[in-house]
Amino acid sequence: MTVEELTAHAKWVRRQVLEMIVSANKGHIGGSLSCTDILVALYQGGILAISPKGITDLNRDRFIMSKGHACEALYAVLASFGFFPIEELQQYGQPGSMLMSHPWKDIPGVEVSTGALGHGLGIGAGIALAGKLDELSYRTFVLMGDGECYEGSVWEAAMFAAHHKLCNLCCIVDRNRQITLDFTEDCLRLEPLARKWEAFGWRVVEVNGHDMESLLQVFSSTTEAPTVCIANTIKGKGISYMEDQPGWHHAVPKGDMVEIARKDLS
Amino acid sequence: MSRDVRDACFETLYVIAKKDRNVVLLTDDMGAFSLDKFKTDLPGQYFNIGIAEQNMISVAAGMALAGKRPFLYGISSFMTSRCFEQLKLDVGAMGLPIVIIGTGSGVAYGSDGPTHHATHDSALLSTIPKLSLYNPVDANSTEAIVDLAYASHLPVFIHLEKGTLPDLHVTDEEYIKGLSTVHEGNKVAVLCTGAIIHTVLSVVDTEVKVVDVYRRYPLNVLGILHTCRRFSSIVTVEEACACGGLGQQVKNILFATKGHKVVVSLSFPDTHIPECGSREYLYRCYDMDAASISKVITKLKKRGC
Repeated sequence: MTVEELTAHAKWVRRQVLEMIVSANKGHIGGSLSCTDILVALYQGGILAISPKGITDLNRDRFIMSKGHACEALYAVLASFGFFPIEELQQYGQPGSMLMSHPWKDIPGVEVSTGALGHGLGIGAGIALAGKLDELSYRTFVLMGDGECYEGSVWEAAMFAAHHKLCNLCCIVDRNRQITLDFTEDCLRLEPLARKWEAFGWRVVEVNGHDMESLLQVFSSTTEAPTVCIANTIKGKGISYMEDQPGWHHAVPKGDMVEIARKDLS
Repeated sequence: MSRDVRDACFETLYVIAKKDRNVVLLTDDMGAFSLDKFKTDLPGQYFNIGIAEQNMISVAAGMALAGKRPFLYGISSFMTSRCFEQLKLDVGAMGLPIVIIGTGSGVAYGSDGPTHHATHDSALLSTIPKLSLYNPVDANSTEAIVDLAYASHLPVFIHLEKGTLPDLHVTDEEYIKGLSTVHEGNKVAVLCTGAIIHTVLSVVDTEVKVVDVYRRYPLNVLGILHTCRRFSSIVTVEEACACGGLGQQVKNILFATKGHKVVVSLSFPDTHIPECGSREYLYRCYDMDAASISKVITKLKKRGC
């Protein structure tokens, strides 16, 4: 896909996120919309060397959605990538559906069950270390929320990955600057976030998390150290009344708000 | 001839790892004399993760997902409650083939205090999906259970004892059963798990049957029923808290089958154990020493079977 096509696809994904959450009356809309471009760049942008048919290939790239609550965006991306029919998205959150509100490993395309924060980076580090031991060329990508950086286990894993020079590991922090109730800097200061990662021995790249070209460029490059991509994003991106507004972590648009959102994403 | 149980454990693991280079040993900075050979000969399969149990479990999960066979070694109390969510989700929920070897069972760390005691970890581990928990009590059962854990391809936790303990088992037993009779008797049955079985065996006579329940989870329910069927007086002994313990489980099983039996459960309290002292001292403090166990058994013997 070209950058324009990727951008258009991201808009389609955001629309699916909206419809899933409105239909199920449940979900994490703000954080799904903030990380949509990242997911589209990874999957549809040709970064991840994976295919639905080769999902057991030992040398496939791995993606871990550590911020599992933003699974609506992941589901739309996986469906459009061919892991399961797009129609399945309509079942999101419904009784008996495989698409629950946090990703489970049984869902085609989901590598790791997530939902409790602070697990994905350690698991990703383990996968990356195994790849190095086996001299396989695959890469491992982990998408975390910025609020997830509050978890101590993240920093245990950060130390470990740098020590073992896991250059095949790329961590992406969706820096939308909000948690459920607060802005991160008001709740518990994360800044200087880049310097924290640098101090832990990571190569740090800050990008606009909605700029496809920048994302593709960062995801394509590696160095001797593990890479963390701090993707500055907007929580609620794409829906006018939601962008950067607190209160949209897991709220569901109602009434006129649904129609405005549909227009914004059409 | 008896061997040190840690030697039995790590020598067995060494043989497995030598044959299968996917076997990796991760530790949270916990050493053992018999581990040195593994570390020296198989450096690419040995990782001291540092004092970071949450990360150790997650890294092991990642390695298992990528085809490795992680064995983890550390202090039991830190390998359970400290990283319980990682155990529950990264290991249990995904059913990954990870073997955790925890040292310091029960009150083995004695005077190190409640931070190091592992009397609650069995209850916690019972809630981990797909996980088997073993309490081997001699070198032979330790060796066999390490082999069994490797072959199982599912999560396994092994409470590892230390030192040379009398042999109660032979290596070619059917360990898949999860329990076996180590002493025959006809009046009282003692169901025991963990190293305290050696204390129990020091006070029994021909009237007391002793069964080693070395697999705590999943419990061999039919085996328990089969053992208890001829006895109306049963004692359970375990170096763990009562909550979620073997005693509770046995009572539940017998209650469900309307077995009208007297069951006396000896265990540690559900609270922490603040007294300072050796393992044996703490046994005495909580009526788990040889004399106390003997008193309970004698009382039940008078009651008859």
